[in-house]
Amino acid sequence: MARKYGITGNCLNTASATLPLANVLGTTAVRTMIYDITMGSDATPADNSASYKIQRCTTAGTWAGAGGAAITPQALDPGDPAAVTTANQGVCSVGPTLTASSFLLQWAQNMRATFRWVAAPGSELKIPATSANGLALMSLVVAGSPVNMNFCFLVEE
Amino acid sequence: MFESSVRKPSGTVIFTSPEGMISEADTVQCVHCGGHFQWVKGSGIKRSYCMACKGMTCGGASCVDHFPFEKKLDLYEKGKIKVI
Repeated sequence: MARKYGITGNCLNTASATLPLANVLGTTAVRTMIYDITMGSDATPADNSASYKIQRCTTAGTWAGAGGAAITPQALDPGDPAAVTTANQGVCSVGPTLTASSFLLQWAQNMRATFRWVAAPGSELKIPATSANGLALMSLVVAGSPVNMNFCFLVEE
Repeated sequence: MFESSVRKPSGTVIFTSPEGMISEADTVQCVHCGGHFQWVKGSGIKRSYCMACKGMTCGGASCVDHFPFEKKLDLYEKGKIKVI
């Protein structure tokens, strides 16, 4: 049975086509799959909106910018072992290598709203079992000011 | 049922506004790239249906020809194709 993990983090959603807000990386051991994404903002409410995309990446990038940090996926079942999937949040100092035009999901969101996407069983966003391959959360357009966004990815491996 | 509902959705998006209003829409997964797109009736966006995979494609140029996503993943992991 697949093991499930939660990946939670937050990041300022500065618009960029090269520097993601977060990423989820698989390994050669498993095909990590994202089956649930939740996103909202904990900043003071205002009419700031942005468009987000999930894009494939083939390197991890360097997460040494402001707020850059690794995220340790937390097992949803405490009996499960530590995840082999890794994740990062914050601002990259060196962006990952993004695969052109490989957007798997996109949405636009006002910071006042909460977004959730849930995959039907068997329709998850799959990461190939290849080293440093993953999915990046991109904020391509920001209308208004960049604000802090909180996200939660639920993955299985 | 919403205008953006399909019979066999691959996913669902749920937006909750500060007033508590909930909007839902279905997403459909492309059988050739694995990406999800929202089904919007009358949007004018051209999608297609792969008779071999028996599923919708996103309409992207790289998804026109029959190339199942699972096969793409296998070949990519073996290093036989460069891009997924």
